[in-house]
Amino acid sequence: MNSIGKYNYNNRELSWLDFNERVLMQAADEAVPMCERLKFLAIHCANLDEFFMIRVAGLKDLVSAGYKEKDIYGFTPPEILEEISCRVNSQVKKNAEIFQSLSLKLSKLNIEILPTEMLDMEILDEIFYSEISPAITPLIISEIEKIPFIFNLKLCFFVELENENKVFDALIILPENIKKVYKIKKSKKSYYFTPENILERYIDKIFPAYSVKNYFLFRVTRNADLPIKHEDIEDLLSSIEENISERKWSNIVRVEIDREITDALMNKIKHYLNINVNGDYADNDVYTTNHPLNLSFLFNIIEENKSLYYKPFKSSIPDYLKNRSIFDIAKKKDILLFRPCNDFKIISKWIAEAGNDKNVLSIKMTLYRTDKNSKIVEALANAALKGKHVCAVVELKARFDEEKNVKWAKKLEEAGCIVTYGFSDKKIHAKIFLATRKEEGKIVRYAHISTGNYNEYTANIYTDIDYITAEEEACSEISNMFNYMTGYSDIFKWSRIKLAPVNLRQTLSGLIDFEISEAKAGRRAEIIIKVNSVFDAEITDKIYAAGSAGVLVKMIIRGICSIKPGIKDLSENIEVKSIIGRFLEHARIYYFYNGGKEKVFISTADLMTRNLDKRIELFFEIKDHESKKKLMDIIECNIDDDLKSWLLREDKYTFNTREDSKFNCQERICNKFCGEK
Amino acid sequence: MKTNIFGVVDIGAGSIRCQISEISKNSYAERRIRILEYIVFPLSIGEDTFLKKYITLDTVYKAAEIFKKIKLKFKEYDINGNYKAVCTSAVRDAENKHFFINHIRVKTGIELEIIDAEEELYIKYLGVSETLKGFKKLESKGVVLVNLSSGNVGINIRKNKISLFSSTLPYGALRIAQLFSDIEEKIKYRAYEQYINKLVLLLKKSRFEYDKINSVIGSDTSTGLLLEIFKPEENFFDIIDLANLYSRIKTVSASQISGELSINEYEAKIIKPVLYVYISIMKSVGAKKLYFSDQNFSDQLTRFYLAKTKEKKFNKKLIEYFFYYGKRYNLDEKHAKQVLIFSEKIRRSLKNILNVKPDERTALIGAAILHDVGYYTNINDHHEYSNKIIHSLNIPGLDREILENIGFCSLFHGSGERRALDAAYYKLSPERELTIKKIISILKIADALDASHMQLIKDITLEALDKLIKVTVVSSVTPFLEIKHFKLKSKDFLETFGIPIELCVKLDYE
Repeated sequence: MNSIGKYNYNNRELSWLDFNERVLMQAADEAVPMCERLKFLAIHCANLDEFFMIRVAGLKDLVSAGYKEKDIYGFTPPEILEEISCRVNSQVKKNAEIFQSLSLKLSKLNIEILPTEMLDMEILDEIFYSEISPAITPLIISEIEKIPFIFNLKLCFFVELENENKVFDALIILPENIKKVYKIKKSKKSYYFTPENILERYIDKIFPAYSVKNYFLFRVTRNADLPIKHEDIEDLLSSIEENISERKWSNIVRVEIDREITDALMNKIKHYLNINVNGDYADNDVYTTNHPLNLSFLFNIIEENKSLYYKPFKSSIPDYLKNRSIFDIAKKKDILLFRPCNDFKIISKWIAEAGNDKNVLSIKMTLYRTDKNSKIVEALANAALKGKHVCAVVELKARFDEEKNVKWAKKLEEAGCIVTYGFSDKKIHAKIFLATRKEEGKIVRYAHISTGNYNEYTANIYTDIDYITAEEEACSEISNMFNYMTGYSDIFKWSRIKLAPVNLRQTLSGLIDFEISEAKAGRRAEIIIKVNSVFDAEITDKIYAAGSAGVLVKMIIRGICSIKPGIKDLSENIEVKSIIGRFLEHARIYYFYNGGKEKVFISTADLMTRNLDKRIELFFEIKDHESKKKLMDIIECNIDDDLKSWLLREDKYTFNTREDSKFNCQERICNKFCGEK
Repeated sequence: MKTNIFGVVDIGAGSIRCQISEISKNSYAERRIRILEYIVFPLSIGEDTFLKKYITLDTVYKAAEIFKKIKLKFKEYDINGNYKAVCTSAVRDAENKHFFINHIRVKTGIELEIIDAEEELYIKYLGVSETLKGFKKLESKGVVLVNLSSGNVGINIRKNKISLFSSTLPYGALRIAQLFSDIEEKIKYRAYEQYINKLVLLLKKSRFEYDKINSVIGSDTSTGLLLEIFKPEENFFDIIDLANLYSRIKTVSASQISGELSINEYEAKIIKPVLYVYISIMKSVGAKKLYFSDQNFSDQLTRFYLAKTKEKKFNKKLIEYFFYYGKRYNLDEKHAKQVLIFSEKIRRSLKNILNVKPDERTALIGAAILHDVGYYTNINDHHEYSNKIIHSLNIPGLDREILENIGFCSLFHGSGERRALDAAYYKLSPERELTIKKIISILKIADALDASHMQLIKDITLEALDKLIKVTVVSSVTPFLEIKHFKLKSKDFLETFGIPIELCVKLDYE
């Protein structure tokens, strides 16, 4: 056996960049409809923003702290930042090329995205003078030598002006409260303009007393990691509110400029942004894109031509659930649903039904990321107003949703819900709902366990498992999980459910160890894991140990993967693939052959250190025969996929380019679940 | 099916435990207890009590916060007043226990009650007897139930369904640990051993029944801790395993023990005394196994409070105990039985007038059997000695107050008025005074009807007439002594119930 070498792990940041490249490649995939490809470009761009705000920001903090040790992947922080910069530049270039190519193709279909040629359109005057111009505040900054604070990801024009042979620098910060994209129909053509695109056309009108010498569009990305400063924070809600406002003022980690500029202009912008002073910044923190800086407007390209989009998809309600109460069905048998094939409204309506049901005594649920105007939040508030005992465990620290969550939390509190905020040092990531009902004088509990958020919007685009059960032991332990999360106690016996950070790590170790012992004894041993990410040294080593012992390990890892499959005598038995398709793969499923007594689990936990040690995650075994079979089908489809799968060998992903590929797991699973009786 | 939600809170030395259970009865009246919630709130009340003798204000406040959560839990299940919140030694032994109880009441509305050591031990015995497989067999051969808690150790020696000895001694694991907290860690175990050896010596010397024991059963959180460490597959721990662990850790610090055995600091602190108490008791009786029941105290409390409604069964068991203890003092069994039969007949026949409550009935039974037990020491002052003997008893499951009431009734059951002379009697509340008066009034009539101790009266019938209670007795000879005593002792009846009672003798010729 090859001993686990120092660098036998894939680096987290580079592995994540690989994932984002796979997303980008969806935009290049000719088989994907064109407007959907535009969306993948936007997703790629948004993903990179988040990557810089969190991961790059973290690495920069290490550099600032003078940390120069090599990590177990073989990189020092400055080295990895350099490698990141190199790969990001390459991806940004690819993104620009794909965008150009798609724009050209769409142009042939009379769809013009960000047209650059002069157009005789009165409507543009109208938009500029009535909507954009009143909303902007142009500033001459060279006089004051200091620019106003530029918030994270805000688009700004830097303008060099001239008047009487004197040069003045100016800034135009684009406002947030205007449309992201303007669609203009003219001569059977659709024209799409962004506000910056329009503003650029009128830039000389903004400073009438000056002539415009140079200009460019830029935006800064700031550190958005939200550290909770003290472990023992009494009022987490106030602390989060404070941190949200602090985030806006945090340091810059990236500057993007939309075109090539002279060194003099570059020096000027660096000077104004104060990014040369403390030496923490390198030239590679500035990215020249030759490309629109914010592609989120691509989500708003709406055309009538149906061929530009995926075939409309309608999530369904299985016949056996139609017009019936979930309580009645779940009492008799467990229910397994698959999002987005099965309509998430089944769950949201059930929660509302619980709120209105006179027999329901209490409702408890976790809220991690929920959507705007969430019907679920409304249902909880309504239940509390009706006098039910409603307990919402709101995770305020869900990254980038903190502000939204603070608002929901307050709304629920006002309605009379008992709102708790979990732990200051652990994120509550488990998605559970528990309704306690009095039926003929007897207490009956119903639990909903999910791999996905209670979010009606993402429920349509993420794949996830929803499981409803009235199994007494499971519901009783889920009730204890709420007691644990709401600070009642941390002393509970867990046997039916496993949870991080309490016993999930040990449980996984035990399950893998058993497979290893089976393989060593010459018996069949198999592990299949479908998660979003794997990044934990102990687990990676354990999986290597399983592979080396002869356990057949199949992994479907959408994103980061620290495992290097295919290394001789170490990971030859390990297969890793990543599926990137129409829907975001989000369900976490774990399978263990277990000496023939197969065990299948669903979970919110990825195999990352943060999930195993710093988050509250649920790991739940599906024992119901029928539901277990459905899950095994889902796993099988994932393994069989050859249309949307990328295969990992060591640190390189390759796309299956075989012409006879025909198995798209997302389509196959949806067909199965949508047709369910 | 009838169902009921019942809450139990066990306020112990290391934690407050809340259990909410659903109790249902099927059509065969079989009771099923289903635990809906079981929550452990760690709080070291015992550390305060056993070290400082009072509960610190900080702990009182922390407890109040916990009870606010418990109140919320009660509300969630619509419990209303259907709960029992029970304090054991950590609160019982604290000087400021009443302040603690009052503070919780004021802050949360939850009423706490203190149970005495004997009752606690009895509840645990009931729990073990219900759930430990093979208990009957063990009990028939002689068993010692060792309820080793943080504050005390309860010892209950049993054989053939009878409790031979029951006592609670201040040898709790935390109490021992606190007592020698100033001694260097490496040699601390020697202090523990000396102290615990004294306990075993006391047990051996004071009880002749000690040599009748074959098995040891452990209970309370101490066995919970051993369970956590050993995770045995069967319902016992082997003495070799216990001894091996003890010798491995006896010189090791609590923090090292905590790391090595993966137990919390509190548990690490008490593990050495726990092990040594069990090992030394096991060695002293030659037991190789320490049996346990995995039922927790909250569960035992739930079962106990629900079972208590079944007075018949409980009183039947008590009658066995009263006779058992009576026999140890050469009780006149025939007289005791006769008085018991008559007092029960009076109570039943006049239930609408006498209105005897369940606890009063228990006291009446006890007094009927034990009122003359003092003859064993002194015939002339037997009332006083009866009272003293009764006070010295530890009857599992019997409230100390009821036992005291039995004592009072025995003290005052003679024909003379002795109550005026007794200082303790005048400290009683008016309610309790009434209870005693009621019991004495009935007891005196029943006792008078066998004043000769000859069982001359075969049967009695009672009639509640308009302004009179008529007792008709059947006897084969004229019972002169009974008639005389009846006249002397019936005054109490009139004063208590406001109605005269008269005797009518019918001779039953053969």
